[in-house]
Amino acid sequence: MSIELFGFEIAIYYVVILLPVVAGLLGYLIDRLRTEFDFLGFFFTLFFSIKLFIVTRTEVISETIATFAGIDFRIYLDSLAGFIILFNAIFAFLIWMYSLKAMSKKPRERFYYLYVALTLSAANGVVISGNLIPLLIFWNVLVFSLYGILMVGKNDSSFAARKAVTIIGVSDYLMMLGIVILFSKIGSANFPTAPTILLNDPWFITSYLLIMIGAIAKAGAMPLHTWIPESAKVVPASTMAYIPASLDKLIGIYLLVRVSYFIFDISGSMSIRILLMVIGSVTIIAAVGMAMIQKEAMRLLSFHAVSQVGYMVLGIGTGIPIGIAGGLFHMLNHSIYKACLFLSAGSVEHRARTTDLDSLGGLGTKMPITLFTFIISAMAISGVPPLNGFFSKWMIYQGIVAFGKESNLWPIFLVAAMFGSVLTLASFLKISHSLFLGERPKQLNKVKEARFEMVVPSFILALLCIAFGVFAYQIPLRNLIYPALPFKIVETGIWLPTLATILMIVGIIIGVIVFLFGTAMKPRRSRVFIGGEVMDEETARITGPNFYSSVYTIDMLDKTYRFGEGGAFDFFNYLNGAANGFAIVFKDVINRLINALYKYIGTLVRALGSLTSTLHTGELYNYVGWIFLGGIIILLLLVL
Amino acid sequence: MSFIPLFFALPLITAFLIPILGKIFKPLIWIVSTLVSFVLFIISLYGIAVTQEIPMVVYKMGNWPPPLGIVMAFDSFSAVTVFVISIISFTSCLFSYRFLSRYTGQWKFYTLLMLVIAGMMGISITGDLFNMFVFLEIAAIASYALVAFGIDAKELEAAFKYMVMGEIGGLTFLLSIALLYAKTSTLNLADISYSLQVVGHTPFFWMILGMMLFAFSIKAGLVPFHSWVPDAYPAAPAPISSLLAGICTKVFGIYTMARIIFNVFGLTRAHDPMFFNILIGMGLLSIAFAGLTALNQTDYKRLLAFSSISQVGYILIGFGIGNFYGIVGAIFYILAHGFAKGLLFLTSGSVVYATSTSDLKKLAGLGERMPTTAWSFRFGGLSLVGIPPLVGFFAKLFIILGAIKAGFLWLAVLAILLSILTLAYLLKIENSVFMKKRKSDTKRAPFTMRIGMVFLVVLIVIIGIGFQPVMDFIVGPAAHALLRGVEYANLVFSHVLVNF
Repeated sequence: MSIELFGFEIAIYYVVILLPVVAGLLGYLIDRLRTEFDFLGFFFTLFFSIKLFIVTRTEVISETIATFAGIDFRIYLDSLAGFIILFNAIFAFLIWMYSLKAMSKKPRERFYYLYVALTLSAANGVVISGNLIPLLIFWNVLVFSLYGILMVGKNDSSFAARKAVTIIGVSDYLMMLGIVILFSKIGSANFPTAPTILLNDPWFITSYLLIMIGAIAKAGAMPLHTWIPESAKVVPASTMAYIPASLDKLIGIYLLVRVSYFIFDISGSMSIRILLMVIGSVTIIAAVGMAMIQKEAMRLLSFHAVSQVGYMVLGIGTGIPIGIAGGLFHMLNHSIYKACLFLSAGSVEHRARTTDLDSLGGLGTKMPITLFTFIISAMAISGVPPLNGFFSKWMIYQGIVAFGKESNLWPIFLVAAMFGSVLTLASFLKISHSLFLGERPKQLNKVKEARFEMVVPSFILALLCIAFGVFAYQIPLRNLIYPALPFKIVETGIWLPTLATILMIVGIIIGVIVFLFGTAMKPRRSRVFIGGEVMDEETARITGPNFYSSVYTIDMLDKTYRFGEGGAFDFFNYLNGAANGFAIVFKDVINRLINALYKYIGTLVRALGSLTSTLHTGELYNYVGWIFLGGIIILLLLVL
Repeated sequence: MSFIPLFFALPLITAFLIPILGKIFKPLIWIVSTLVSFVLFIISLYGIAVTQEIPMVVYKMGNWPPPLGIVMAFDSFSAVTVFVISIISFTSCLFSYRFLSRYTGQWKFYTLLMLVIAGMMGISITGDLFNMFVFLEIAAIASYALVAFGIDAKELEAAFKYMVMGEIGGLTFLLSIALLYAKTSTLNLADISYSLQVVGHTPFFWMILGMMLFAFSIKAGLVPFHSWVPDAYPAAPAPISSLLAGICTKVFGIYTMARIIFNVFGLTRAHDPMFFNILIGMGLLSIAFAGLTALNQTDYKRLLAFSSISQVGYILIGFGIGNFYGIVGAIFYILAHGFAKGLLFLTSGSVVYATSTSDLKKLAGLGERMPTTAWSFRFGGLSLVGIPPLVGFFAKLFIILGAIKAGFLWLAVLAILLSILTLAYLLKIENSVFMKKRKSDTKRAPFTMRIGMVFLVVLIVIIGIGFQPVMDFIVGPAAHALLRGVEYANLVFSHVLVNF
């Protein structure tokens, strides 16, 4: 379980924490060799992560390194941690590869790579820790690196960075509080706890809720999501793909699963489960609703990054093994296809220099591979069989149905989940159309396929989408998901992905034939009739963003949307408002008090000063009088 | 030949030579007096060096052994005082050259100045009580004359007040000496100390001490005995104000008081807390009262005069705390305040020289025209307020440390709070004289004036930065000399035969 390096035995779990950050630092310091160092760092981290993953499939590494002030600095690596580490490394490597071209010659490029490496290290640290307190330390390093990486963006990225750090930071404090409560109650923050703690004590419930808030804030569930769409506007696509789309989901949901089933056990507490499911459902519907009306590709994708978290939380909240496995699987799938979506959209942005859906279109023929990766991942996120997104959603549905044996609320959650899925598909129709189909604006005629380094990562991810869908049982579930969970999973629904895939492929072949003969790529041209006036072809172009503009104008919904756009669901705004409130209180009350104090003290001092000044009349007999008075007082004091 | 008599003999001889030299060549007066004060500075450095080895250097006048003859007893505390006197005298002399150009009878000025210096030097090295009184009167009478040097109505009035009040103090001192002589039959400080140990702390003892405290408080200008100060300092020519505020009051009042309290009467905080509390009380009263009054002043020099009264309060607090740190702080404060207030009065002289007024309402924007003066003011002011690393900071720091070590936390807090007053009134000058918009073109300060100010600025900065050696070699031993208490007498008698 350890490697030999320069004559030292170093455990692999140290390597996956130290290697990225050391390589990143070296690359940062020696700019000329940055690519080489980063390659070595990310590649070998991947290599060792695979080794670690293989080890964790058969054994559990549990080791206390040091005990300090009652806190065990402990390593705990089971199969759950193992596969998270593996995917951390895979994503980091792919994103790094993509960034080689996408980020080249961008401002603050050096910092970017450093923060990518630091994020990987910290994320691995979170996963490896077997005690909540070291976990919290790595968690806070993640906040720092998040701030740093968000700062590498357009000019106004500092606002997004501030917002992100505020939200994540506040939830981190809540989480810290939760950990402290737990620590003081049971005297240890080691996990997994055996036996798991049942949520029957108000303190335990508080502690669980606080840690849960930290976890879902990281994952980006509503209402703690607002920094994600904010960042999407200003930071590069690779950053979005790396942090909110993949690593944050892995880490956040990892912690949620850990805290829900390895430290506490929520399956016995119906109210907590329903709370989680409500959070999940609301997140699904609200975020996807916001996504529908976005006119900018990155922002649209970022709302989906929020929406999909809802499924994971919903699945984990069911408390049913298949649902939990589905939530975990969905987390993995989501990381894959959302990273792929961001990367593909990033490729488009890289070439077309814009992500405004109104001014894009018809890029399918110019960028066929990007079209392929985008469509595959868009179908995966929409839950189109036989792709991976469908499979994990299917498991979550099964979990909800099984949950129905315990509660009557299950139809609400099921409808929310399915409706969310439909809306997702709808909004992806819109974005796919806007980017790749439809009519191409003239200024985009020179657009070419993205560079090799940018295409390969998204292509690999798209292939993963297919593989994890078609061979869902054979690859991900059997190897990754099922071993990671502490209970036996019973599938209830019947779904044979292989057979289904064959049917799908037949369908696709038919589709291709239709495509070859048809005119999907060539927009049908017909004259627009508007009362005799001839319209410019450019203005008559039908673009995707207006597909659902009628949704925006529906009564009731329009108000909600306007609230949403206005930031009514933005936790940060409320936080800001509270801060402003404090500021006003401070300014108006305390400040005035201090001012008054200052003023009155000043007046008092000046009055005293003028009093003592007027005592100096300049008359000698007065002065001599004072002298003798003083002398008498001294003599009296001393002699008596 | 010992070096000790030089301290007062040199300026005394110069004082009488000056009228003759003035007849030969006028600038010679200035050159000789500056030179003499510089030589005194060198000798004082030598004195400091000597006291590192020998705690007490005794010089017998006419080789009469004590207590029959008059002795000069030079210890570390004397060394500090002599050091500060020589520096302030030197800068005052330097500064006087051009400043006096508008006065007549310059030889009188330098003669009187030399007499003041001789008197102060004598006070700080003498080992005889009556001798101390004589030197005190030499210096005091010369300073009355110097205050009146401008011979306008204002100056004469101020000098008259100063004289009346100063003589009340001086004569009370004489009376107390007479009473003490009646009781102990000796005038030698060391011998008095021996006798008083036999007599014990009777009410009579306390009465004499009270009268002396009264006398020295007048000389030091403490509230409520201060009322001559705000008239005398503004009336005197700036170099004299500098000398008076910088060192005269400290030597006349504080040095004598400390010497008599600690070494002759042998009081300690542990045995006589009441007396030391009175000192602290008087100190606080001075700081607060004069500080508040200073805020309201509209005259540059009058404001500084009140500031001096206020700052003497800190010195008194330091002695009143009575432990090692308190006394170190007080002695450091004598040093710091001497340099800072001397410097501030020199800047006032420079301003008066350039604009012929010291009214804050009429002055404005001199900062750009007189940068040396303005920056000297800032350095002096900051040191007075107690901004590190200037020397005033360490003085205040030690006083505050002393207060905390003695258990007077409230005193430490109060001392810090009251120093805000210092900042406030000094900012008033900074604001109205050096900032603002310039009204009209003025003269610049001449070279000899500037060199005097720069010399003090350099000292303030250097002693502030290198406070550690100053603490180790100058101030620390001086504090030990005071804390030695009645051991003083033993030293005086046992070192009779040493000749330097």
